[in-house]
Amino acid sequence: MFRRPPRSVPGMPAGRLPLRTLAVATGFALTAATIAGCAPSEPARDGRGGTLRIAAATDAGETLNPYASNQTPTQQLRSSLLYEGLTHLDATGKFEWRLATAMTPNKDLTEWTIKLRPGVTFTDGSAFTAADVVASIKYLRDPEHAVQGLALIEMIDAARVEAVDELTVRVGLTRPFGPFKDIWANVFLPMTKAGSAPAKPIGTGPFAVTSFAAGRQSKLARHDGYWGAKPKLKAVDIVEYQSQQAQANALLSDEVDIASSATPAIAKSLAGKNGIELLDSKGDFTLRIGFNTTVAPFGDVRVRQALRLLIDRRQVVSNAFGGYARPANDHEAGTPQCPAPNVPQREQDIDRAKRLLAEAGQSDLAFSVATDGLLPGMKELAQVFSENAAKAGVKVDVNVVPPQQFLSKWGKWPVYIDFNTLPYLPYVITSLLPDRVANAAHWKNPEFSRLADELFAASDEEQCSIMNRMHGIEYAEGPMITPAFVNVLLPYNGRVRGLVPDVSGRPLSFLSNVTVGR
Amino acid sequence: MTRLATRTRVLKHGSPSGRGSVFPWLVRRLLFGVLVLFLVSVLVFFLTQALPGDVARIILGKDATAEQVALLRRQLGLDRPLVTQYWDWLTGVLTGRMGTSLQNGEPVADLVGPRILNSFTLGFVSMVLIVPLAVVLGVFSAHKRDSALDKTFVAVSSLFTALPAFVVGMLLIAFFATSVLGVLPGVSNIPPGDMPWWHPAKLVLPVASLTLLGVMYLGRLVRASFLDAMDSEYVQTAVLKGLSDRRILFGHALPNAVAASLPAAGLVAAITITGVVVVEEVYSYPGLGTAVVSAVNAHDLPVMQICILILATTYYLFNLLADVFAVMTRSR
Repeated sequence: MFRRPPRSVPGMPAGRLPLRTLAVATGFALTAATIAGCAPSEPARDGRGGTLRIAAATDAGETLNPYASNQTPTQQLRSSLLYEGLTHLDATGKFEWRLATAMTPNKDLTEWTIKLRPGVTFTDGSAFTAADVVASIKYLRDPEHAVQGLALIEMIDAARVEAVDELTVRVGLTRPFGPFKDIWANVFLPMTKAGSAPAKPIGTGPFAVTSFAAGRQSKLARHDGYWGAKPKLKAVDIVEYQSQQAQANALLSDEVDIASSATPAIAKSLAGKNGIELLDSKGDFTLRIGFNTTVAPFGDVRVRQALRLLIDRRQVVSNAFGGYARPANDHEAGTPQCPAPNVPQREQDIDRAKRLLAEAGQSDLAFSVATDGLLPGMKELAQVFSENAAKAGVKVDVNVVPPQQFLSKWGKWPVYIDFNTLPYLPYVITSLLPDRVANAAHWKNPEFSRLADELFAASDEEQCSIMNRMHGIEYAEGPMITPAFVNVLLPYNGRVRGLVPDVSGRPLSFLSNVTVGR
Repeated sequence: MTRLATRTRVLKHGSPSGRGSVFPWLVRRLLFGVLVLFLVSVLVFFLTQALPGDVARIILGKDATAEQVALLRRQLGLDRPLVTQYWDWLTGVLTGRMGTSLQNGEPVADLVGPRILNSFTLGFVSMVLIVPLAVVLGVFSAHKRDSALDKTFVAVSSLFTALPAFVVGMLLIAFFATSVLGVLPGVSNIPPGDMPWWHPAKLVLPVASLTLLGVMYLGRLVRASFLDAMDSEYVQTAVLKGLSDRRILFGHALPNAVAASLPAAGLVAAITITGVVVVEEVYSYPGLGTAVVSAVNAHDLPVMQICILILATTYYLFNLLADVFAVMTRSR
């Protein structure tokens, strides 16, 4: 400590007045701050539907470009309100026409003619025409743009995409493809005004952007010229928060009306507090444990089947997902229109697993499972699996790495946690066929690929039976443990009315009837 | 206390010997600061290269092919030699071109500018509260030495000094925002384009977190200085001369104790900067701290470099200020 001699004190002590002044000023500042803090936030009174405030995860790298690569859920959420595709799946998973009204193929399914909806306008007031569709498809199809949905439309011959008239587009393919209309019901394949993307993309959706700050907030206003069911909401604010806990805090302190991403634990803790309710979307969203079939011993189907017999699916549902899930059976879901494949539910069977491992010469198997813990339940799934496997003497370490590191070794991890939000058909195209980037298991099954080709050339009526045979192959030889279909939970303030659960796990794409009472 | 003691030892060797040499000393320290910042920028640059993951792959995601990743690497200039990349960045910054964010292509200045203001406001308001509150509490506690109040202050301040900033933040959120009282916002997102002081309610909890931590740390230093002053010979002499308690307290002991604590206040300001980073993350406050976290996650080097340089510069300047206070105290 420093010391100095006492200074002279003329009359009144010099330190007295400033100290008092400071004390008074501090008290005033604190009181003012507290009073300001106690003031209720100003309610929105702006029309019949009000403004819906949605908390989303921070995405500092986002843009308004719906064709950007590697889009986070925040970007996808906004895109689903601003842009539309040619077709669409409703909240029950049923196919619907959107910007297209019909698609007809030639005889050998190598050329499709798309009829567009008349009377559709972009949010800038201009008319939506065939030229916009041609420009959008050509942009999407250009490999240089590295768009996320490229794998879905690789069969399109970009040179043979042309406008026939104002509302008709002809699309040539490089190979026969039957489920053409289903492919377009994807958030990564929207239509934008010709020449507007990527810098200032203009869509036809029910909302338009009024302000946008990357990583912080976007404000959307109702598109009054929207062709479809006009939203009751006047505006939507998407506010970005650093963590899921911050989203929950924002909901609890009435800063937002909806927390768009919540772990099962957070969602459960929020329900019932301060008028908060839970929207529970039961769908076909899966978290899986993938095995790289090019790394020994995971190329051996006996080892993969043994590991599938080790997991306790009920424990996964209750412990990893808080009960908000249902057991799955080592294959993806089909479509809501198709019955489930006729295969028995796989249960935990330690003895059989041990026998299979012994047959494969892998009784002392040890490995680590890598996850970036990006989505709720990923780490927990790995931990439950590790505990289950120990019962058969299989040592499984859980290796949690940052998302960047996880991504940088994508396709190289021997065992990893992955997820799927896509319906079956696009999922097969992007992830289960050989040499696809998303096929990190490098699984190659000639019979499965043959059936996929058959599916792509099949009529609607034939699809269910082909899909079920494909599920059978996944069940018997697939590269993944698919232990559960996970529900998507959406905590929201009870003042919000009209939300509907969505089997695709995107309930915030369906805001037509939503209102916010204040 | 440890930091202050360390600072005192350093000053014995590195400080000017007399008043006349203060200016050259200050210039030397400022030049040294420039060297430190240069080294910080080199370190950040090469650490970023060592981080796992490739920025092009992070931007494009797992669905992109190797060719697409390679193409983006070329477009972003990431295929050039590291020294060339660093030199381009450095000359750019020195000539006022801070470049664009690798993540979304927006100019770094547009991204970082408003956040500097937000973080500065948070730190400034906190410091304005920390210094007087620490003095009042420290002096009061020392004056009532060994009383229940004094013991409570020492115990509570030990607790808060030991608690990490994010724990304090979360406790305040639970108490004032979400679980108990529910009178304040539990998050502090300032809408883009707004000044932070337009939303005083949202500043209360982040400022309170930083203030609590700062006051508890600085208050203890003030208390110790004040106890030293009260035990000193000059105060004893004043007592023997029959001066009143008030006059001894406010006229003699307090000014000395406060002067002795000023260098510590400079250090607390520096520590507050690191606290700002943590507190911003807890409250989702759009400042430099949250920008750094996002930039590190995405390996967004231009944004990361600027944010870290601003934080490091501020940290260095406050350390220097602490030294200047210490020198002034000694020279008097």
